[in-house]
Amino acid sequence: MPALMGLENLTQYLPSWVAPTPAFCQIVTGMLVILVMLHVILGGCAYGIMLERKLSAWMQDRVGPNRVGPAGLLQPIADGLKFIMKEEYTPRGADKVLFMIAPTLIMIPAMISFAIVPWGGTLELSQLPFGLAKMLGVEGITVRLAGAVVNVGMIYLLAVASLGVYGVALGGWASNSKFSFLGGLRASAQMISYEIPMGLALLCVVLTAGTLDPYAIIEAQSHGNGMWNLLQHPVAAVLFYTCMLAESNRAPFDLAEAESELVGGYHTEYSSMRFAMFFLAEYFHMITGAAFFSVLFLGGWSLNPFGGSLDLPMQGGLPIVLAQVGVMLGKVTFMVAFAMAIRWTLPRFRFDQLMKLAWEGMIPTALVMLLITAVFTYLGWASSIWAGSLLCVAVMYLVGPMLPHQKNPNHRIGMIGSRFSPLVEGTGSVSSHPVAMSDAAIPDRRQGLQSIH
Amino acid sequence: MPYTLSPDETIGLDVESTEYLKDHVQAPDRWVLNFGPQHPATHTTLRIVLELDGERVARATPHIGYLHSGFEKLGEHHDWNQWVCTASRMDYVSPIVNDIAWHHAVETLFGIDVTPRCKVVRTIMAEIGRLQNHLLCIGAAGLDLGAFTGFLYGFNEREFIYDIVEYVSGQRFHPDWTRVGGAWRDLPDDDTFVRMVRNFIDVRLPKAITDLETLLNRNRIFRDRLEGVGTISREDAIAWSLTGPMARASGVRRDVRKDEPYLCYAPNWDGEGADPVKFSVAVGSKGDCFERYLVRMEEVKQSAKIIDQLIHRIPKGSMNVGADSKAVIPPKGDVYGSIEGTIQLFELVMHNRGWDVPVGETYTAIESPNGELGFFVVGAGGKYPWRVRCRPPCFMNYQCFPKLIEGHQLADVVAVIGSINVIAAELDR
Repeated sequence: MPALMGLENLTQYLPSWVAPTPAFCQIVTGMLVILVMLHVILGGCAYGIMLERKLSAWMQDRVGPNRVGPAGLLQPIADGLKFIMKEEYTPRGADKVLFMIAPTLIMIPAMISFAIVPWGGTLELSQLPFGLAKMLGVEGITVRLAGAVVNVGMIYLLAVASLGVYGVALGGWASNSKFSFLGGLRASAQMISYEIPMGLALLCVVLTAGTLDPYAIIEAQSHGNGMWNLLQHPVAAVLFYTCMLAESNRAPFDLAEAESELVGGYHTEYSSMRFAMFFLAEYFHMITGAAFFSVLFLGGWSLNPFGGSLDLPMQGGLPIVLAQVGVMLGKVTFMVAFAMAIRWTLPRFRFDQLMKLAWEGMIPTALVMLLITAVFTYLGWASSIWAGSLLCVAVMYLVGPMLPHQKNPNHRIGMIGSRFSPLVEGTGSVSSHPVAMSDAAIPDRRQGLQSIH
Repeated sequence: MPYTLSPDETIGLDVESTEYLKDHVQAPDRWVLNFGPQHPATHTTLRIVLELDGERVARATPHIGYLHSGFEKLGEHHDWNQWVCTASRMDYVSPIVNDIAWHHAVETLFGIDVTPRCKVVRTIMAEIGRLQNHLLCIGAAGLDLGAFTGFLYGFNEREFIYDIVEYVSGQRFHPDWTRVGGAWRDLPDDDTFVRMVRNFIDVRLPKAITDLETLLNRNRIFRDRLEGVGTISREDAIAWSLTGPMARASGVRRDVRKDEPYLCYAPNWDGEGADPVKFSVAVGSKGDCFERYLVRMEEVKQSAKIIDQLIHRIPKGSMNVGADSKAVIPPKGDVYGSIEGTIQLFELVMHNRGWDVPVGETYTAIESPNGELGFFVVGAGGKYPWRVRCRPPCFMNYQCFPKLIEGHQLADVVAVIGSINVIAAELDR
């Protein structure tokens, strides 16, 4: 190639401190991956909204957006423009500083958790086209297609995922609106509760794989090393996916926004791009969750669920790596679409039911599952851990009814000052409700409680 | 005037100084949440002042009147046909039922017995109105809990009802269809009408019912949200004068169609010994939100059954009672073509003329989708009613809202409002 004559050794033009070491190559790759994937995912969010609208339209026998551009494809751009043009409104009495930074606080954790997702396998730089490797002097070096190669990636995920609640809680508090406040409160309690089963389900996978490195977890699920964790760890997969929905505030766990009760929950008072950032963060969270679900349970870019040797190789040239990225993105899209299908099918939980599900259902199950996984791993039966999941289901089926349960939560609770559900002493309807029990501030109970009929 | 206009001095009630919140107790750690009047879950403009302890409702005070439009006063300035346009706008979820209810009351006052053909078509349309209302309410039960899809499954089928209503009356939404002694015009074509209705109840409706039942009936979240919420006992339901699905879900066997039959629900409706239409009244026992949903679902099926019995039995003949009754506006052909027709039209529309109205009063009710919808009409011999009073089912049903919700949670407020099916336009009138 005459045009490339004289460029055989490009490195001579570079400053001396730039040496094509493996670490340097990895950093450059990481930056490139972040640059590309950030844009892919930002676009993915915009078109995720479009996908959601089209999908819901399809489920509900409607047409969906089809006016802007060919087949409505420019709708996200029109939506974005609309958000930018809208007035930024700050309600009276709002805490202006917190009100302003809350959308940022929810966006940042949603975005930085992408850094450790391995989008593709190991790229052999010597297989780059046009003899680039020789030119750059990077022959024999391999890099991983991830923003940051962190060998404790799963701990990073747990650390970052829970930070998103700060934006929600602060946004709800700073708005000076009762609806927002309730939304923020609900979100905080919900996030704290659902972190626990999420971490426990994650631990099951980590125990079996014996590593915290997402890349190694994928490796353990592909190319002859073992089955997908979805088949190995079905219980943990269901738990993790449910927690993922709860973490991203998606239906049926969208109590923090709950448009039919709290108008818009924590973002009731937000408008313009600030609102759009809350909205985008929800989709970001959903895509992150789907990406981690693919990594942990769907074998990343693996194509063979049963772990045969017929699979995409872990390492290869550019075409192989691009195919891996494609498979990964396909799985992410599928999981996101699945979350959308759930949203348009199920009603919303009530708050106490949500807590009940976490503390009476998911946390005990996750604990049992973790115990079983630990025992199986200790005994060296890790390859047949699926039997452990069956055991876990059986144990929960037998032991579950014996666990302490809240009695039917749909009964009325007697309240001071209530006309039709008054606090009556000695009739058994005295609740365990703290305020209902304290009779410090009751002036005259007999006078206060009179029933109209 | 049948009554004195001066208020009864012996009562001595001063509304301004009435202490209606005498039993109010200041408890600690309460906060007041103003729920509405602009709120997505209040369906229209309801306002509820909730006193919350955390998320638990200690006290709920509904404030009504945000949609008060003086409909009843308007009734004293519109003639017997004109006011149907106002009545139609009360329960805008099933307007055609209001038309039928209003003119049923007026015809009772006038002593007019409508033709068998009119009775059959009115019965079919009344049941279609019931379907229209229940499909929305069942869907909205899901919508209020956050399941939007079920709402659209119901709403989608309402499109076909709109088509039928438009075919019959010329208007999609507010038909203003009935007139004293009949309807403003006959069916354009019997066969087309039969085909449209048959298509709806045979093809569209079963599919919608199946979809909704599959989506909601065994849905764990849906049931957990509704079962045991907003319970009212049978005795309380009677004491609070609940009607319709609200009362029936609590076990009260009250259905105006059975108890005080009218139209084709009455025996011998065609004057030749016809049997009344056969249907069962859906009665529940628990009286909670889920039971109300089930009762409505069953009523949808029973309505389809009623329509199925009548749709092939539409008698031939006139839709309106005869021209000699002097109550109906004659066809345009008669007005332009014959002196009798012209005179009859003038007698009805000119200011100094009008009906020969008996001086008297009547309260006549029909079973509307939400319960007993009655009109109290006082005729004083003039062209206009002397007094029109509506008994909207929503008003009575909504009264017991604090009783249903107190002690439950904030999220249950929307579930209970949805199950009462409050229509603010009818509530406030």
